[in-house]
Amino acid sequence: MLKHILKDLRFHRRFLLTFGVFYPIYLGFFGSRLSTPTVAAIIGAFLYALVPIMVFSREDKFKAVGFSLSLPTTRREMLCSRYVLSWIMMVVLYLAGSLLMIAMPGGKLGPAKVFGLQTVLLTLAMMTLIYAALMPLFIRFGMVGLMVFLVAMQVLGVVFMLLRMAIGKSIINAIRALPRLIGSAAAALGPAGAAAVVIVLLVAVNMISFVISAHLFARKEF
Amino acid sequence: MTAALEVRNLRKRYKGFTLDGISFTVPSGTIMGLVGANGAGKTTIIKLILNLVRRDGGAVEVFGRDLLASEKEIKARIGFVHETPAFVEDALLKDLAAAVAPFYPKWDGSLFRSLAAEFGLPLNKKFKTLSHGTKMKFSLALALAHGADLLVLDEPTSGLDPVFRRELLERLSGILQDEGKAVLFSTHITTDLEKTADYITLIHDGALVFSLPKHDVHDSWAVIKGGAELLSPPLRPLFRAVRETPYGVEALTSAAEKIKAGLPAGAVLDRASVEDIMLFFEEGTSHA
Repeated sequence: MLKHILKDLRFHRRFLLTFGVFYPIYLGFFGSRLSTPTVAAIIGAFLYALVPIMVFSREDKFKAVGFSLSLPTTRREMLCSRYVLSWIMMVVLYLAGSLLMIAMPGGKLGPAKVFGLQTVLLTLAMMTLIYAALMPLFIRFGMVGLMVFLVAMQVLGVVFMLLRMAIGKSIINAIRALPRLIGSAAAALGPAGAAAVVIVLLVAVNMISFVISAHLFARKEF
Repeated sequence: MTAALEVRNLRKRYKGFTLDGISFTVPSGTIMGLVGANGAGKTTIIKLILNLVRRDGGAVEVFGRDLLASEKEIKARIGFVHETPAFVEDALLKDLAAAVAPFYPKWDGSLFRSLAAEFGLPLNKKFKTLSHGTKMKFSLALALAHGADLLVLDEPTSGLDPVFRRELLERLSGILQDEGKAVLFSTHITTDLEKTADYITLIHDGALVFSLPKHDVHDSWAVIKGGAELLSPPLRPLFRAVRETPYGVEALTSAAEKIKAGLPAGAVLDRASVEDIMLFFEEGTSHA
């Protein structure tokens, strides 16, 4: 697996350096202007989850996956290394962006807010959900999968707006009840217990995503 | 002689194309030329050998081991060159080689550097800046630098200048001085086969025409030229393909010795080259 990770880092070094510098600076500056970390966490998670997909899409674009699969490896091993490398990339970018958010002159968020347990778990949860949905779509449809995901998000927003118009505020109240429900469950478990449950759930979501991707990757032809 | 590669009843169906029960064996210490027109199925066979596409049936064994059961170990012994070498385009050649090297237990860095010097590869340049010929040379250098026991080359000579093409073919013959090694290369440049191949496998429209030692091809396949009497019953069943020209009839047979005795007066029998056979299958009006 390490060989694959080093290969991908070598292959995409310049691309990674560009995004590795730009995204954290952008998120650091953007987040530092906010007084609560929630919005920055959600937008940051979305951008960071896109980076690994963009990296792997380059290999698709250059039709180089066939060569990678001709190396002494298996598809499962290659995919596994992609998941691991993705998480390394996302966590490194997240840490860099968060540190810049704190360090940016005139920033309104201190370390306690940026690295508060709730913010960290929210960011990890968002990254997991976006990445776990994106990766199988990307494996199956390539860059078109990414587009499908982005369009689906837009459509979801429109559907939500239409529902709100049709049903009224009850849908908003229903959605707002969800965090309260999670909050009361978390309070019952205590911070450590709640964090443990969330992390277990996130690992499970990642594993489900991996199993689906592995199934799709095994059937793909190059 | 042990088999370096054994392909048995390989099948693959695409919309509008079927690879139909292909079987052949590449013995160790030999070069097998896989020949056929564009679209005949050569690249599909090679992709199936490397598990880049899923087979619908059949089996592939490399050095006696099933490909799917021992994929990683088998690929460590295979050097592969694709007909259109594709790597991450904006990576430097030296980075591409450094990324590939750790995958192969027998990677020889000094051999790679000497091949790069010999092929004139600009290691500090990006892959996308290279010509097709240089990309092919780079791909060859990677395939040769890890001491592969089986080289699988898909149209390796396409896009190469005649001088390097000759050098490559000589190098392939040189590799076989080590009898444990073997080469499978696909091509539609049949003169390459005449020079180097020990065995020839001809594919036509997804089906196997023959897989034979080169001298057997030369002994048994012939082109017969003559008048319309060639199409009479005693001879006609022995023809694999027939072509009618303004000057008479030309027919291809795989039973040259059998036909020789009963040839009508005025008819001429010439040994068929691989190119003749290929052309007949592409252009012949009927196949027996």
